[in-house]
Amino acid sequence: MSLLSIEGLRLSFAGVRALDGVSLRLEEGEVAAVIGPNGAGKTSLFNCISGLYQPQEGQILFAGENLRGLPPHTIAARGVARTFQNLALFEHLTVLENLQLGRHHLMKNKWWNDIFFTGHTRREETLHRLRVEEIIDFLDLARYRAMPAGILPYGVLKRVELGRALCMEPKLLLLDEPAAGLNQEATEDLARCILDIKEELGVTLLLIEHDMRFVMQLADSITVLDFGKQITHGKPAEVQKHPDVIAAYTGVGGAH
Amino acid sequence: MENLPQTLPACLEQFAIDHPNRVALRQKELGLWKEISWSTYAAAVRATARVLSEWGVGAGDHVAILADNRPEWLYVDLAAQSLGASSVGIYQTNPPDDVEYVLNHSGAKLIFCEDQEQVDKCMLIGDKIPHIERIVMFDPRGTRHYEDARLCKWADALALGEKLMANEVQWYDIRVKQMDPKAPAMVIYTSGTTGQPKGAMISNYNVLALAREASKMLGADHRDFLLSYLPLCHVAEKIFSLFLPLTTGAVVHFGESIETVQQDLAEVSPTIFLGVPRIWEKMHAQVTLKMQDASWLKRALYHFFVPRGEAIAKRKREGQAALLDRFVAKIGDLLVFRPLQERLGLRRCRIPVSGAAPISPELLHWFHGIGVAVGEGYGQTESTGVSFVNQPDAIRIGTVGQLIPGMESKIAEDGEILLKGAAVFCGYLHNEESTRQTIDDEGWLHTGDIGEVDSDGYLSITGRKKEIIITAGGKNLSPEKIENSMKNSAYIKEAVAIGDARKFISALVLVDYHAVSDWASRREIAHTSLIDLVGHDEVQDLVRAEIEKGNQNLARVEQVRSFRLFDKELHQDDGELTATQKVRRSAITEKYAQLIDSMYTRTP
Repeated sequence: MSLLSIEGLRLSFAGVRALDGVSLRLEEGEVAAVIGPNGAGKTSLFNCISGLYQPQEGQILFAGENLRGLPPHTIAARGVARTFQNLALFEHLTVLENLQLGRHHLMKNKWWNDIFFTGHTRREETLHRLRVEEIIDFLDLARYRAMPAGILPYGVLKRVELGRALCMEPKLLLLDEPAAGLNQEATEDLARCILDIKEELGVTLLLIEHDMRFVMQLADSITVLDFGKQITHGKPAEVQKHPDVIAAYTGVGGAH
Repeated sequence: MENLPQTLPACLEQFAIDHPNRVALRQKELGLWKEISWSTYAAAVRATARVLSEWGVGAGDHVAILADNRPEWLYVDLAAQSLGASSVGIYQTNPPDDVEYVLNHSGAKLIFCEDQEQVDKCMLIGDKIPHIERIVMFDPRGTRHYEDARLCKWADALALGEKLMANEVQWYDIRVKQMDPKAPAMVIYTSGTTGQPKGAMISNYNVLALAREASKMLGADHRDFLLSYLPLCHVAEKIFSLFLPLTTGAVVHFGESIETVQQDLAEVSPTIFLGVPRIWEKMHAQVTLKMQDASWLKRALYHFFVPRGEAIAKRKREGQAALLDRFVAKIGDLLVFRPLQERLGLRRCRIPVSGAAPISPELLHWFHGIGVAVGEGYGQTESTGVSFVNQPDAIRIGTVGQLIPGMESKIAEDGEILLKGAAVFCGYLHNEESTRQTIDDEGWLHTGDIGEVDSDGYLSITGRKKEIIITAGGKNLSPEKIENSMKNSAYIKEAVAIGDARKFISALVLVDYHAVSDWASRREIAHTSLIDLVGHDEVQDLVRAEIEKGNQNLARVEQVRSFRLFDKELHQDDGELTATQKVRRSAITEKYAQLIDSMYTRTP
């Protein structure tokens, strides 16, 4: 069984077809990528999976269970975490606090216990803090731990956002343009990091990316979208040679 | 003396017997300080020794360590010694070629690497280091696909050692008893500003003779806290992470990483702190810059109390502090000095020491002024790191203090400082010739430094024998003194004084990018990199003004009359800095010859 399977997804806004019958299968433990020109519907697809948009047609199965129609926090609790194209961090909170927010949905304590900071609460806090610290170590964020997010450089914030998503203990991690705005070195670090997430944490990843070289080296499978439609799906080498893909990117030749 | 342990491993065993549960080390892991007791420390060293022996390490062998400061660094070092082998520390900043040189020169059998980055260096030079039998990784992350048969994880190695040790309890005790205190126990490669590094061999006899006297002189004991953060391949950090703690029982702290030193410092608040001049310069610059953003009240208080603090500290050192002085100092402490000290992590610091390179007296006056009485020490790897030091209650600024008991010193006719005594090293590894050049027939160690001793035995250093500038006018000048006077500025990171056989002194200056970039941003001077930053006339003017300030502390002939700015950071990989980040003056004067000539050909 695929970890994520999407069939015939359709989404439109007042007559504009954002997604027009998109299907996608994602196997457990793989790194998959969605590519396509601007406005192809990549982020819309992410928003449908994470519950921010409600598609009009189609189905989204995650580990065999339906996700369509569920609110975002329920989907997050099922094990789907994401990062955003434009960072969505709390500027005035420290890196540590931003990461701890990722643990919020995992807190099982009752609020009346929390008020009195009972032994149970304390144990739970310690456990969550430990996990957050492991992520800090994993992403090499120790030196920024106590700094407010607002003063940190862009590349670091990208890592913090990734860290927050990891703190949610996801089975599936959706990354929306993780390499955008990063320089060569930071992009290479990110690539290593993604492989570590896949292999050491066992998380399945789905990413949207413009940087073709980055995608070709990293992804096990690629889905290409254009104008809300799926053009092709396959291994990086196959996708790269596909005439429709070349057409979608260059606007020359192909079936359009 | 007779009953005291004669080697560092024996000292450790003694602590494990006398105070098994007392804290010996602390390490910050996952945001928390974890404690390591003397018994745990000793057990880890025993297990490490057992596994090293299992892998064929014996007397006369070498074990290389290419890692961050961490407890395991000490375990491996002490374990190697206990088998009669020597540890060889390698700087993590070393490019692969330099790593290869040290490994081949020492003929090391094993290497302990920090992480993937360091392992990659070994992989890159893989065929050229045939004698390396095993590469042990402390942090194996990212190496899961590596297929080199020599690779091994630290956790596995330690577990193996523990297992083997369980059956042979006496094994280690016998080794430690058999150790020869006068045999080399560690090889410390000195970067040297010229030529290939040389491996200085240090014995336990050297170490303990020195450490026991030095800790007495400084007044260190088991209640002291230290932070291990300078590279452990350097003798200075070895003194403060190994020698001193193993003779006094002081607690050594290992922070999270090199980048978190400032936070770690504030959390540990060490009572003994060794800083190299660059660290003290950085702290001073940090305060100076922060003050620009402070409220007018804070600024006013700072500018009122700091000069007074300096004057009072001076009178105190001379034993002339009046009652009023004590009162002003107390108020200053409450309003200004205490918050500053806390911010710097030096509030509890009883013994702040500067060493490894000369520091400018003005900077020391400033630190004394804010209540951090930094004392300078002096030494070299060849004298086991330290031979002169300022005692905390009798500091004389501008001197490196008094001779450590057990040593002899004299000034040669040409002014060179000569040393003799228990701390003089065993010679350079595989380099008889250099050893003979350094230690003469009568046993005097030739330091290569020029200095003078005053009537109370305080030594002041004039400069390096080989690097003295002789101007066209025939004046002998020390480039370090000139450079340090320039580096007092928060905006100047590095300065190289030029003037050998020239009419006047000039300098190549590297601005502190961080500070000058901040300065430029406040004035809306657009820049994206060092190269366009130094292209601005305003920046040139800023540096000129800072150099003028620096010139006021110098004699007329020493004053810098012309300067040029580097448009790139100086780098070890480009051969411009040594592994300890000291400027290689000869390499720089060669590389930038044209730039230097331009200062002397143009009519000013």
